[in-house]
Amino acid sequence: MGWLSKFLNSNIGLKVLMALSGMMMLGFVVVHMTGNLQVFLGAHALDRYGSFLQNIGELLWVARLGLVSALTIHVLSATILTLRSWGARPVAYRSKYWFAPSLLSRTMLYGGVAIGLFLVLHLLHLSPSIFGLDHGIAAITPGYEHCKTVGDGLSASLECGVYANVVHGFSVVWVSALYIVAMIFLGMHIGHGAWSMFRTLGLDNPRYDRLAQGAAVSIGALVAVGNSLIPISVLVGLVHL
Amino acid sequence: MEYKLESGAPSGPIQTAWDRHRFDIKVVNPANKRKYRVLVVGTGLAGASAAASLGELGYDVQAFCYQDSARRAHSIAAQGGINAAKNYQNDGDSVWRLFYDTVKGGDYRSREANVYRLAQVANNIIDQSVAQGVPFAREYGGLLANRSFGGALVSRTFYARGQTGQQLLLGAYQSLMAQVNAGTVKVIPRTEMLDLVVVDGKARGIITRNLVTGKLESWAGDAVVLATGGYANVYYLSTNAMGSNVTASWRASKRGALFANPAYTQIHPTCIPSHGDYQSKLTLMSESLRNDGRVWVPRNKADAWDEGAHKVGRRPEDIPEKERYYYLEERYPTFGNLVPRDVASRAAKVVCDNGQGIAYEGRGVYLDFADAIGRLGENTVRERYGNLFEMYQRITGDDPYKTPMKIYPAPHYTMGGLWVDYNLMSTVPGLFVIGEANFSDHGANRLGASALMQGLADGYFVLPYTIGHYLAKKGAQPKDTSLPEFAATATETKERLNKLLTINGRRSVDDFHRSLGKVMIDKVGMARNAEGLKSALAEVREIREEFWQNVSVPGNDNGLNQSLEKAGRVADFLEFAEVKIHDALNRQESCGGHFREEHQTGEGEAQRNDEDYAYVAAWEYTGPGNEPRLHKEHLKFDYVALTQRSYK
Amino acid sequence: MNLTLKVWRQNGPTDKGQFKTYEARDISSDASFLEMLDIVNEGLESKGEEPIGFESDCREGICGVCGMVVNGAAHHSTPRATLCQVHMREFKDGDTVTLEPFRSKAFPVLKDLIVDRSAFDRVITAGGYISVRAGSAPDAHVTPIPKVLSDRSMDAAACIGCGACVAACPNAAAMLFTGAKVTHLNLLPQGQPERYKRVQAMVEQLEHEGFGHCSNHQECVRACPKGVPLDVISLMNRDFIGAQFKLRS
Repeated sequence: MGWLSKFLNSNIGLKVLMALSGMMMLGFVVVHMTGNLQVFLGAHALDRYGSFLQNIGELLWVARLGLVSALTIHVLSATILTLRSWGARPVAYRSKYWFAPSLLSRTMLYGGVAIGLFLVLHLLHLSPSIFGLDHGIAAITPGYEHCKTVGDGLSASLECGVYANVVHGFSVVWVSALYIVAMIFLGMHIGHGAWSMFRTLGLDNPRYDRLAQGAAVSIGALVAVGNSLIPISVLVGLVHL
Repeated sequence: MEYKLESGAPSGPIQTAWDRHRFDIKVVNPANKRKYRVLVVGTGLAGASAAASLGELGYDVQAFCYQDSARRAHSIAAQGGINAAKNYQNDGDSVWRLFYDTVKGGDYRSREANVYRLAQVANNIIDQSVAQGVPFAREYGGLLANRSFGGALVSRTFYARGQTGQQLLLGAYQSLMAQVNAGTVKVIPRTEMLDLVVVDGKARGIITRNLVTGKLESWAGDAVVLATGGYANVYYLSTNAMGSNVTASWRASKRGALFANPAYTQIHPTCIPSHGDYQSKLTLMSESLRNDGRVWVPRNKADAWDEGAHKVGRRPEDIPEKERYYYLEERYPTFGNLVPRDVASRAAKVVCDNGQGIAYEGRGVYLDFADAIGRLGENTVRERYGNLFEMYQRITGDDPYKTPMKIYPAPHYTMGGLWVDYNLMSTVPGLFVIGEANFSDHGANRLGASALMQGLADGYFVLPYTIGHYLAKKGAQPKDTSLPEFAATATETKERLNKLLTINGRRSVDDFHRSLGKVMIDKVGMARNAEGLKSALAEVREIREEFWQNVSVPGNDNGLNQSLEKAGRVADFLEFAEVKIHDALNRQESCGGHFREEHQTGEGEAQRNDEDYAYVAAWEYTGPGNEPRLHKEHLKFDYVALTQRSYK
Repeated sequence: MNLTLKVWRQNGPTDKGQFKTYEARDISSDASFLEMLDIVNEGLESKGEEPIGFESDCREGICGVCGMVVNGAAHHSTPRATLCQVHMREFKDGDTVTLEPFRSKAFPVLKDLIVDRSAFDRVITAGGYISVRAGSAPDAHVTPIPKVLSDRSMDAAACIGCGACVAACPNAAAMLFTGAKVTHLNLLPQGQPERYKRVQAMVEQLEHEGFGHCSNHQECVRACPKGVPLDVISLMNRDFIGAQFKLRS
């Protein structure tokens, strides 16, 4: 198996890991968004979706494990590659001219870090039960006063209804603003990543390259807009209790 | 010294000469090959292909180049193509026709047996290159495309866009690096050969300078191969690379290798003219432009437009048709704008000397595409020459679709070089010379797409056999750099470098080089005469004397010092120029790239003198300041009848 | 025209180096950028000062020797041009121009603006060739090659090995250079026998030299004076991934 570790430790190998894990996470993001957009179908639909997810049992843990591994691999590979990249140019240029001023590719690192930070916040904010932190941060976050805790430890959960959670959570302007900014970052990250991953895997075709690049940007934009619609709708009162 | 200049080419039918010769010469036992070390200097087409092939055979090869990588030699800049008599076009080509065209094109001053061999192995070069992955142009059926080039009547030129030299060199370079990987070849870049070490009359090693550390090093081997290119930079402005130089050849010449036909230089007609004194080199525009472009100058001198002298004249677009002098079309009605390179170049010089020239200092003529654009449409012209027009516009800032191009001839290739026999060995046993650095195959003028052919023929298919003959005869020698000859040569080199560094004068190296170039192009360029040559001789001596008193070479010898590199090269050009002038003086005839004004027909065409000058002039160095001594190899033409070239 | 040059001067590989300021006076707008530097250098030489070290050879955009970072751009920002093809008419009188060497761990500075690009040679040595002994080749027409394929191969083969891709890449990667050679040879029928061995060996050497990775910024492609397309990188990736399976079966 020496060849495998050698491959995975190579720059291209690490990029392959990033592409594959990125692909998994992109899949999740799209599914997650589609599910969440049920908020527009009303409280009943969203709450039913929420409890459906709660009740798929072990499968939920498989999914969570998969996502956590993908995230870990993505972040770890990115970290190694970034450190190597810094090492590859020990002396920086005094001035740098950008030939291809692509905002998308150049913000991958910052976007990635921002999304990572957001992720922590997001989990604490809307799914505090995972960490059993309902008495901690969740309790002091505005919007959770209506909930009560059921069970304890890892199996503890807040019982207040997903829909209510969403509406309460996003009624706070700065929280919504934070979400929207994060979604813009996520959209940009996807806009470059979804195209780049195919190139990393060598699965591109010069004839469809422009199409692929356009598709990636469109998916990114869709994710950013789709997800942002939820806090915006709450703020403008389109979605309410 | 006494030299017997015998080519050693086998007698008998020329068609089988090379086969018979290969059988007759000795072969090194495969198991012993690794005991022989060959030092190859230069990694252009000839050097890289030779080093790679010798490595493949199992010899212990060390390859040197002054560039930072073996891939960068100036062969890379060849645009047009490479000839071979494959007859893929079914247009009647044959080895015989390629042989015949090359001897005739060289104005009957090359060695028949060498040229025939060249024509024979040319086909193998194409096979070899294709197998290496050289992406030659192809037709839709997947087979190789050919084009007609340089006025040849058959389509025998293979090409890879406008980068044939690059692709062939990369093929050779990659084969070389494969041998580096296999451990048979060691490439030593950023290293310049500064002298040849001769032990008991045989070439046994070289002295080099590491261009990064400045260290002088001695290398010993069983044979030395020079593949160090031509001497066109003696003109300062040429199409050669900035670093192209005569040092290795000239040093070898001072150690006993005769220098043959140094007067022969090809001046290419279609180059971009100089723009000013700061001009550092000239850029070649493909010869193919003459297929559709019409060459002209204003009939009235007053109309000639010269930015350099702020002479206004008239813009070319404003000069009416009848006031334009289409001198090639008028003088050569049959061939018109497609006359051979040497004829076109001289004709340009004649009109410019007459004051009708345009561009900087009146050294330029128009190459006009207005007719072609009118006849074929701009799109067709764009398809054919788009990339060349773009290149031209980038350099000059002019748009050739709107205003005529300006062109002028520039030194491009040198047919002369160190004298070699049929085995490509010089008059110093063990010193082999290949590619442009030798003199053998192009006579007095080289045809288009033949330089790449000769470089690779020598490297892939001739030298690897013939060097074995010398090595097998002599047996492996100890690679011993502690011999006194190494120390003595190294000391001389060191002293020379020290001298250059301690002059502390006021004139830059380039400034001297420019002065030399001016004398050479004016008096030893496209047209020469006895008076001019004699005065050139005196002027070159003066420049050389001032050089050794007043050159400024800052810095020291313990590191990268580009001024010192240049100074050494220019110092050698200053010495070499003299033998070149002597050769031009001696050859009282006009042939190919050598035009003596005293020897022309009534219509101003070159007048050969086969009676007295059908020989190779090989010059022996006889000490500093002394006149070189002439040795002759008489040329016999058993297969090609000598005729006067005519392009009327 | 007159210009102010801010030039990186570094005496040798171990020297620390610093920017120095020079004035270029009375430069013709028809001069090439390197001729402008020649003029500055001749001025320095005739004063007995060491000229600015920079490399060039063919000065017609094909040898790949010249190159430095001019105002932050490898070979200057002129599209599809090596530095020797850049002319002063692209600058304005009074401009200040910054000249830096190509910066990469794999390209150590030798002097001033001269870097050591021998890493490229080692990448080619690792496998950038088709093994064919002189004399052993079959007739050139034995294998017809579709024109489209041959043209794509040529697009990649046009690489001049100047290193601008490395200099321009935010990660100092040599993926375009290596990908170009892999693509040139791996597309051709002649290149098939060594296809996976080649890419494996070349990529391993690439890593060893300390070049960075590809983030598909496309800076390399835009800086490339020969227009080598980005696809060469994905083709190399594909073959490298493929090699993990093919070389083990």
